Amino acid sequence: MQYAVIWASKLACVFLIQASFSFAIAADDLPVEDVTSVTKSWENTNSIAGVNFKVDDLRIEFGPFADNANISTDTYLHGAVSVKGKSGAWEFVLGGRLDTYAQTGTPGFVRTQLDYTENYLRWRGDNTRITAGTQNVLWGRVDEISPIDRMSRSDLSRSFLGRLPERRRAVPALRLEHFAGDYKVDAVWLPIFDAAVMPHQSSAWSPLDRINGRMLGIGNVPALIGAQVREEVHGSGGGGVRLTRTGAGLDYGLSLQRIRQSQPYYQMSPALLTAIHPFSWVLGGELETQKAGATWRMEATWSSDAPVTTRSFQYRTEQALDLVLGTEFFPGDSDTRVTLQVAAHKIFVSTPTLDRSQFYALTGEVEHPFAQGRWRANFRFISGLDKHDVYLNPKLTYTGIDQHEFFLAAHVFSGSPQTLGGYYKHDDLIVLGWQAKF
Amino acid sequence: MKHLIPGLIRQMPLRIILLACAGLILVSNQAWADTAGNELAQRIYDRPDGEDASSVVTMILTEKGRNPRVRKMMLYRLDKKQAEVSTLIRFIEPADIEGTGLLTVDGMNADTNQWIYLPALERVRRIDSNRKGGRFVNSDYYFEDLRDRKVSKDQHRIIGHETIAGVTCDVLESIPTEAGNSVYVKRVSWIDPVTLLPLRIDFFEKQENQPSKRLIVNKKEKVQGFWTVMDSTLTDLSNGHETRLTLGRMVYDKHLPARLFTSQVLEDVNAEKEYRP
Repeated sequence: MQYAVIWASKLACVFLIQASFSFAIAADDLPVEDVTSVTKSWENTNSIAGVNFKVDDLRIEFGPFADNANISTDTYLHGAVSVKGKSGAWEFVLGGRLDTYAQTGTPGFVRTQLDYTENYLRWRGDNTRITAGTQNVLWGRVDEISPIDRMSRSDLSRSFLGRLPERRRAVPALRLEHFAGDYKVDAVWLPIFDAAVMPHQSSAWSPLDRINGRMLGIGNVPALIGAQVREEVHGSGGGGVRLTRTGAGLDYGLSLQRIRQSQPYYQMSPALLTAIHPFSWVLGGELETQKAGATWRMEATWSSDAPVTTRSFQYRTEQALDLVLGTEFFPGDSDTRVTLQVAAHKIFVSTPTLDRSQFYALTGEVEHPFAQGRWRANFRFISGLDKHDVYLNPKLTYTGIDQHEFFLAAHVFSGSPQTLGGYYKHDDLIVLGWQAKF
Repeated sequence: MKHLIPGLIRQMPLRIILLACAGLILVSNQAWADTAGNELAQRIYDRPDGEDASSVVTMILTEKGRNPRVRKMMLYRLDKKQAEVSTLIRFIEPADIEGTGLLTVDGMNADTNQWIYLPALERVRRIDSNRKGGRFVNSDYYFEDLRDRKVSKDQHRIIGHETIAGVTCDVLESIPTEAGNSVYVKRVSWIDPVTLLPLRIDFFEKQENQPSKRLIVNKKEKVQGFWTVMDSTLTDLSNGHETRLTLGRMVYDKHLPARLFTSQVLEDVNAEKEYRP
C-alpha cells in the first residue's frame, strides 16, 4: 500500500507541475498564433510512434465512519493505466489497475489487488468490429440499476458507493459487433467465467457479516456466525445477443442472454456457505425517447432462474421480472440535471423465502454545476418504496483544475434489516477525495 | 438547416451568431420588421459554406484571476439534403473529457435528434434536443447557441450602420417571433456586408436595453473560397467570463460520408480519426 501511495503522489506531482507550467501565461493575453502554439503543446504528449500511454484514472479517498463503534476509517487508493495502439484495421489495448483498500478499527485490514482492465485485439471493418480479450461490455440504458447489464463483471469491492460504471469491470470475451444502417447486432461470448470483485471479508462493505450473523438482502441469520465460505468459480460465463436501433424519435433494443451472474449467491448449508454463480436465460427489452422536455428510458427483463433460499434453507431458482423506468431532465432549462428511476423486481415464488422476493425503489441523482463550472454539487439517492430503505450520497466537487477533481462526500444509510440501507445503517461514511485522469 | 456547432465548423462562433441573428426568414406581416433586414438575414443564412466541413477547434475558458481551461475538439458537419444537417463533435482534450462525443441530426421538419457518448459510461445516450438554456461544457455558449435557428423564428430589421475594425457593418436587430422560442429577448448583430459574417453580436437575455453576452470576431479568413471565422470571443458581460474559440485546421468539401454521423461512429472513438483535417 505504501508503494502505491508514493507512486500515485509522485505521478500527481509531475502532472500538476506540467499543468501549472502550461498555463502560467493566460491564453487570453496571447495573439492567435500563440494560442495555437499553446494548444499544440497539448498534442500527443503521451504518444510515441502511434502507441498512446494513458493514465485512465487515479483516485484517493479517505474518511471516517460516522456511527460505527468499532470501525474507524475507510481508505481507497486506485490507479489504472493503459497503452493503446492502432495499425490499419487492427488496434490493441493493454491495461491494468491497482486497488488498495484499508480499514482501521476492529476489524482492520489492508488489501492491495492487481487486476486487468481492457486487454484486447480488435479488427475493424467498415461495418463490423471483432474484439477478442478482456473488455468492458455494458449493455442497457438506465442509470444505477440496469437489469439488462449482465455481461459485465460486478465490482462490489465497495458495495454501492460508486456509480454504475465504477461498479463494473472488464470481462474476458469474444465480441462481434455489426452495424447495418440504424441497427446494430452485438454478440458476446464469455469463454472464461470471472466472478465479481468482492470486498475483504472484514470490510464494512462485505455483504456477509459472519461475526454478527447477517447477510445483505436477507438480514439476520444467526447460522452464519463463524460459517466458512467456499467459492465455486469455473467454466464459461455464457453469452448473448443484443439487437438495437438508434434512429429518429425512438431508440430501442432486444437482447437474449444465457449468462452467469458474476455476483455470488450464497448457498447455505450447516456452517458452510457456498458462493455460486447460477446460469439464467435473460430476455430483455429497452426503449429510449424524448418527450415533454425530458429523455425517457426503460428496461425490462425476464429471467428464467433467479436464485432464492426458502425458510427451510433450501436453494432453488425461480422466474423473475425486472422493470426500470427512468427520466432525465433539466428543470427550468438550467444547468441542473436530474435523473430519476423507478425500479421493480419480482421473483415468482410460491414458498416463503429468506430473500426479498420483490422490491420497489426510487433512485436518482441531482447534479448542479456552479461558479462557471468550477464546482459541482451532486445528490444521489436510493429509496425503497415498499420497505424503509434509504441511501443518500451528497457530494461537493471542485473541478476548477482540468483533469482533477477534489471532493467531499457522505454516504448515509438507514432501513429495515433486509434492505441495503438497513444492512449498512451503522456504516455512514464521510469521504474526502481526489481523482484525476491524464 | 444550420447549427451553431456546424456554424462553428463553417465560420466558427460567427455562425452561431449568424444563425442566431440570421435565424432569418421574413415575417412580412410584422409591422416593425423591414424587408431589407429580412433579406439580409436570409442572405446570411444562405451564405455558401460547402457541403461538408471538418475542423479542429480549441475552446479556452478564461476568468479573471484564474488559470484558463482549455478544451480541444473535432467538429464535423454534413449537409445531407436541403434543410437536413448532421454534426459530430468529439472532444480530444483534456483527458477527463477525452472521447466524449455529441451527435446532432437535424431533420427537414425541424425535428432534431441528439445523442451523447460518455466514455465513462461507454454508452450512447439520447438527450433532450429541445434544450435551449444550460451551458455547453461550462462555456458561455448555451445549447441554443449551438443549434440551427430558422430565419422565421425572428423578426429582423436593420437599425443602422456602424464601423467595426474598419468595416462599415449593417446593424441587424433580431427579436423572436414567440417569446418561448429562445432564451434571448433580442440579438443585435454587426454584419460585414461583403463576407456576410457578423463581426459582433450582442445577446439580450432579460432586458432589451442591456446585453448579457457579447461575441466579437477576432479574425476571419477565406478558406477554400469560403469566408470563415478563425477566432472569436464570447464574453459574459455580468462577470467577465470569456469563451474563446480558435480554429486550428479547417477543410471544406472533404466528401465526408454519411456513416460518420451515426451512432456507430459516435460510440467508437477511433472511427472518426481518419477524417480529421
